[in-house]
Amino acid sequence: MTAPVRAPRQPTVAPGRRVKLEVVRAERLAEASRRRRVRRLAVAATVAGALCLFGVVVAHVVLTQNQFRLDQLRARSASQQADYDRLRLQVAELESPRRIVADAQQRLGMVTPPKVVYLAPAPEQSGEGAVAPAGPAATAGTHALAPAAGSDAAGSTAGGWSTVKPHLAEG
Amino acid sequence: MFSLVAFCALAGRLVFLQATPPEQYRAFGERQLMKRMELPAARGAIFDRNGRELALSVRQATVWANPRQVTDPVGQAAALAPVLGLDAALLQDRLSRDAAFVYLARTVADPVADQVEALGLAGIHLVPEPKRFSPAGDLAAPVLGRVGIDNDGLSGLELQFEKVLAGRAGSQVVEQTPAGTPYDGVRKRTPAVAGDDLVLTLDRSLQFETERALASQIVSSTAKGGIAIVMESHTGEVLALANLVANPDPTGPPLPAAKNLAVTNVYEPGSVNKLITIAAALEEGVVGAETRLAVPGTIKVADHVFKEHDPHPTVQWSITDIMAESSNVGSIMIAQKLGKHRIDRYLRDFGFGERSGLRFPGESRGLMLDPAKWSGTSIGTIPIGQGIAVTAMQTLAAYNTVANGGEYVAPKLVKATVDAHGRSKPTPTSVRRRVISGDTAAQVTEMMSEVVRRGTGINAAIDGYTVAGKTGTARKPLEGARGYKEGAYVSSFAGFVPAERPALTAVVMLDEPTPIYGGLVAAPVFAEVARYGLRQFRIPPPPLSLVSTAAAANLPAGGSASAPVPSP
Repeated sequence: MTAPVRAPRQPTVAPGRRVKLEVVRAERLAEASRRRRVRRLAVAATVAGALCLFGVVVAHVVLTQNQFRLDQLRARSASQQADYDRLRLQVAELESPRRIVADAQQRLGMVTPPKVVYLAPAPEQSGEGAVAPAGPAATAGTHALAPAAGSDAAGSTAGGWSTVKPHLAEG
Repeated sequence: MFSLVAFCALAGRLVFLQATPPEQYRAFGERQLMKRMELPAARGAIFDRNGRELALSVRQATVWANPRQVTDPVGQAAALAPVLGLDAALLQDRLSRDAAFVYLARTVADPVADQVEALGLAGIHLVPEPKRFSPAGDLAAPVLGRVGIDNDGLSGLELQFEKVLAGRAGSQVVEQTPAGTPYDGVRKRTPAVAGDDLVLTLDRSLQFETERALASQIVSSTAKGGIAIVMESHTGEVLALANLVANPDPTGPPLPAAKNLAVTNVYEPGSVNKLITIAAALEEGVVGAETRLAVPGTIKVADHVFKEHDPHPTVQWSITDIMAESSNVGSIMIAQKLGKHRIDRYLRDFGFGERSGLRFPGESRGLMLDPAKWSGTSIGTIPIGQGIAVTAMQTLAAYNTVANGGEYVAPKLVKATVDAHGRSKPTPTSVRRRVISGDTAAQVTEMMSEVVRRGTGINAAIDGYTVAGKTGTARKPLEGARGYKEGAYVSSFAGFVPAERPALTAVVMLDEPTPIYGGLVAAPVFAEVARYGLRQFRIPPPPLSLVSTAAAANLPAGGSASAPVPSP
């Protein structure tokens, strides 16, 4: 696309009058040129100012949006933290000895053993890892620590295990 | 003309406003536009020695109202009353006030907060606030203490460590409407700094078992209350500390005491004090372990005649016999050889008359008499634990001195603090000082073992282990008057196990039990708690080479040492 040809500017002179020509001084030409530059600079400065203002507005909008996002993230973080704290409390309550004992007794029907049985090694076997039942309760089918492998007591104690915890005596 | 004057006035005002310092007007504007909200700091949790929570804070919703935004106080009060469980008239009064903020209900349960939110009432708001919870119920409650509605410590460790636990509140500034409704978006925010966590020396399981055993004995002996403390012998770390009182309802279980009686209340120690008398005499060389004394059934000191609890003719008893039989007369005879100044010095060296170092709120230093103010009978009363008063913790620390080979170790209740970044800062180790020599401690230990083997403390015996301890049955002094309360006794047992290599030291005290004897009511609780502790901490019986012949002879048939069997 070509630009339209602009007709050369003609001096507007009244018909019948002779154009008065004069030599244009260099100072006037320079002044005109300076005014044009100033106008261009003013236009450029105005445009730049407008762009800057627009940039500031955009930056402010972005800043505000990010601030809202930050607030939302903070709120989410606080909410998650609150959830975590609630779950932590719930776990601690479930692990509390009182609840466990109450559940064991009331829900599972467990009871405290009337007597804890202790086994003592016989004097002549002490230091050899052998285990012998001690006291009348030990002979009443209560269990004991696992004996040393190969000891004489191993067989009898294993029999005890098979009674108390059959799956441990398999094989 | 008038217009000119008005213009000049306006211009003058404008110049005044523009020329004068703006701070005043800026502050005025900010007060109208900005709202400063406090961000409460998360209070630190309290853990047992294994990191199990004993107390922690969880954010709960607080319901508040801005009455200026409330459109229908009567209707809103009627809607809120059943949800919040409050009186409608009270709510209506609050909603009708000329204020921008009133609390309606603080730290409500989550379902309540959900219901309030669902109502969608104008001017009714929710704000999160931390609330203190004890997930283990009232376990160790007198030790942990309480916090108030504003989350500040009121008693116990919560009060003692308030600065550590509380943290530092933060704040945020938001813009608000003239009606006081905040806009979204925060202008300025100073985050809150969470409080540090507290790691105690208590063991939650042992604490539970200790409270259970003590509660059971309080019920069966119809005691007014009781205290039981278990300590790790070497470090002085308190593993369990139970303070219970009888339930006013005779059918109800014992309740946690209102305060930590083990360090705040004093009592006359009674016969448990004989340990110090005898240890001092042995240390000073006044008597030897095998020294035999002719002990009569009574002894007159000044104008008072002291008797044995079980009358007997004059007998030849060794120092061990005097300890095993808990002889009043024998102990007084030993004390007379020792003299009041040395008795007083040893009592203080064992920790009586001074605070234990726990710095627990309201901790008592006990009541000790200056030797210069002793009466004529004091040389008879104080060696057998009357006329002075100590806390249960002091008694425990004294027995733990013997358990530690003669070295006093200050009790310890807090193991470490942990900051918000998880950095643990251990508390200083307990102060130690030598009180008696290792040889004396060993001799006293052997005597205390005899107390359990054949003496008054036989009910404290634990199969497979050698227990060293001493019973105490002390009369209770009258409150606000001289003399003793008729028929009222404090019964106790203090000791440690295994005697050969002490690992656990414990004291059990019962207030006005029936029967009255420490050997009958306190010793069994000691055995029960110590037995559990030995299993819990996997403390094996001592090697046979360390078990004395006498101890071995007392073991169950068929062996000279035994191993504990875990309960099924």
